[in-house]
Amino acid sequence: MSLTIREVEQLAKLARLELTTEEKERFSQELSSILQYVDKLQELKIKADENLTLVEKSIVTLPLREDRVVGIASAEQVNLVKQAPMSEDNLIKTKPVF
Amino acid sequence: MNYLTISQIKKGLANKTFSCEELVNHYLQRINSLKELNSFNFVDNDGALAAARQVDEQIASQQPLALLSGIPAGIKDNICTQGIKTTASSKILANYFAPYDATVVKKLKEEGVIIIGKNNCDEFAMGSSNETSAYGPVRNPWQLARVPGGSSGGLAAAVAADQCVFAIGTDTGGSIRQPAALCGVVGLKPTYGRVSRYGLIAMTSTLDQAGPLCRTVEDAAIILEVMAGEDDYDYTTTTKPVKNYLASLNNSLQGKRIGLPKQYFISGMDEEVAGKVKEAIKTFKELGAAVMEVDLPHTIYSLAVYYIIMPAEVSSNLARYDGIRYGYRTEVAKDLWEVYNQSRAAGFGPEVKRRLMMGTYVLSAGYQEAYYKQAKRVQQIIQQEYQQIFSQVDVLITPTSPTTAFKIGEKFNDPLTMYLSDIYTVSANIAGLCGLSLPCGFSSDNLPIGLQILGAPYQEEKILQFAYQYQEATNWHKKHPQI
Repeated sequence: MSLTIREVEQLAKLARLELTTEEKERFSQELSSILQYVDKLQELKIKADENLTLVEKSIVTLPLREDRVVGIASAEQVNLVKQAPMSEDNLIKTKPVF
Repeated sequence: MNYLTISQIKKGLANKTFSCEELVNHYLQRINSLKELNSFNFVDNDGALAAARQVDEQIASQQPLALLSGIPAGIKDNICTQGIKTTASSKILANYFAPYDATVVKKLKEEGVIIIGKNNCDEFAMGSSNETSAYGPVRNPWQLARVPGGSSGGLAAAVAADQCVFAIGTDTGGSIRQPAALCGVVGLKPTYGRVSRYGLIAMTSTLDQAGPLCRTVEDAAIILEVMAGEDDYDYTTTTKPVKNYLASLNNSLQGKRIGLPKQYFISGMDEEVAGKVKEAIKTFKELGAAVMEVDLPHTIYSLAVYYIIMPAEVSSNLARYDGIRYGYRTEVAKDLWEVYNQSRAAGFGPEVKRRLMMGTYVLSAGYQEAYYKQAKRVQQIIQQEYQQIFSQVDVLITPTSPTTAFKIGEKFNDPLTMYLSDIYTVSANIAGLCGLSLPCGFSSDNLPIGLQILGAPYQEEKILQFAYQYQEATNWHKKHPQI
């Protein structure tokens, strides 16, 4: 398994990472060698879904909390908004989407 | 006042051999005079001294002390502490103050522990050598040109150099046990679910677990009892009762059974490491335990499983660092997409980026079935295999790391070779076991060698008992670096 620069660029887009040309070249080599290592799992032939059902079952049995909104104190809210790199009137400020 | 254990400090404070302020000053002075280790990102001088004076007042007015009153500890910088910065050794969180304490920190504080500072670690706990930290590499106190291991490298170095009594780390693939081995201290990774993960900066949520690095097995037992337990804020914590882990340490190993997984004793392992582990096995036999070779044919796939599941979860967990709600934001971005792409590009280091890319790949359309789902299936097979073995033996014994501490820079540019450092520790995380590393000797160039004891899920009591019996039969834990 080997990754082309184009594939690396596509992954970087999905991962929301701006990469330099040098990084793209390095990642294409490094990711290829890591993939080659993890590819050894492909030698194991496992009956299609026998084990995966177990994984999915274990998720279902986990206790879930009630689906309701838990409010927070206004002081805590101010503290959380303060963590944002930019804020105004106790609201988080961002760049425009377009 | 050097290399004190928890019980020695409790005695010293009670008998007024030293005050808590003197005690805290000793550690602050060690931190200050051994700055070249780079084991702490932040030190809370004022906070620690104020807390110490409070303990001294309590003693003077004969008020009862909590279980760990006045014991100074370090906290890994990927665990949230209110009032002291929490950066996960990353530029993207360079100015982050967590608005709350992690449950483990809260529990330790309630028992009187004094938080002396935040320990250096690999960025977001991703690394096996502490070289990926934005605060620079940590040095091994046994030989300054060598790594302390990782990702809890700063903690292992600090505990080994007597800069704190113990430190709380996290272990996702070996991050407590491997540095403990490379620095000659005790490191305990409890079973997933035994200790709350609330307030740990998430790396791999299905594998992360917090635990202590300390200098004796008794200390590990005391700290675990304080840390462990069900937490409303972490629904994966178990309802199984927390035990008095000290109570069973003295029980004999007569008739107990040890398994040696043959897949762990392969050629290519450092000969001195193999030799010391074999000597340790002889000691266990002398202590009355029966030793048998066991077969775990699928365990050789653990590291490959780890390098699929871990980056997959990393890529989703680290999506939250977008430059909007907290953390670093680039100044130059023109629109929202550039804020995301450029803040993350500038804030994350190379190892984090590599894992984000890898995780994105194994979860992307067309590859999820071949990689992620296949890895989850193999994980299930590995879990079943270990489950079966633990119906035949009490514990498994293995080396903790295939080598002693390597040189700073030696493996840094070869990620795959670096990843192989976790080959012996990673199965415990993949199979959901508990594990402990303790010193079992030194190489000819005076570097510590670690022994790993693995137990079935929630059998911390047993691995601590085995470790204590071995520790009491040997003197390795009494040897300290000349620094």
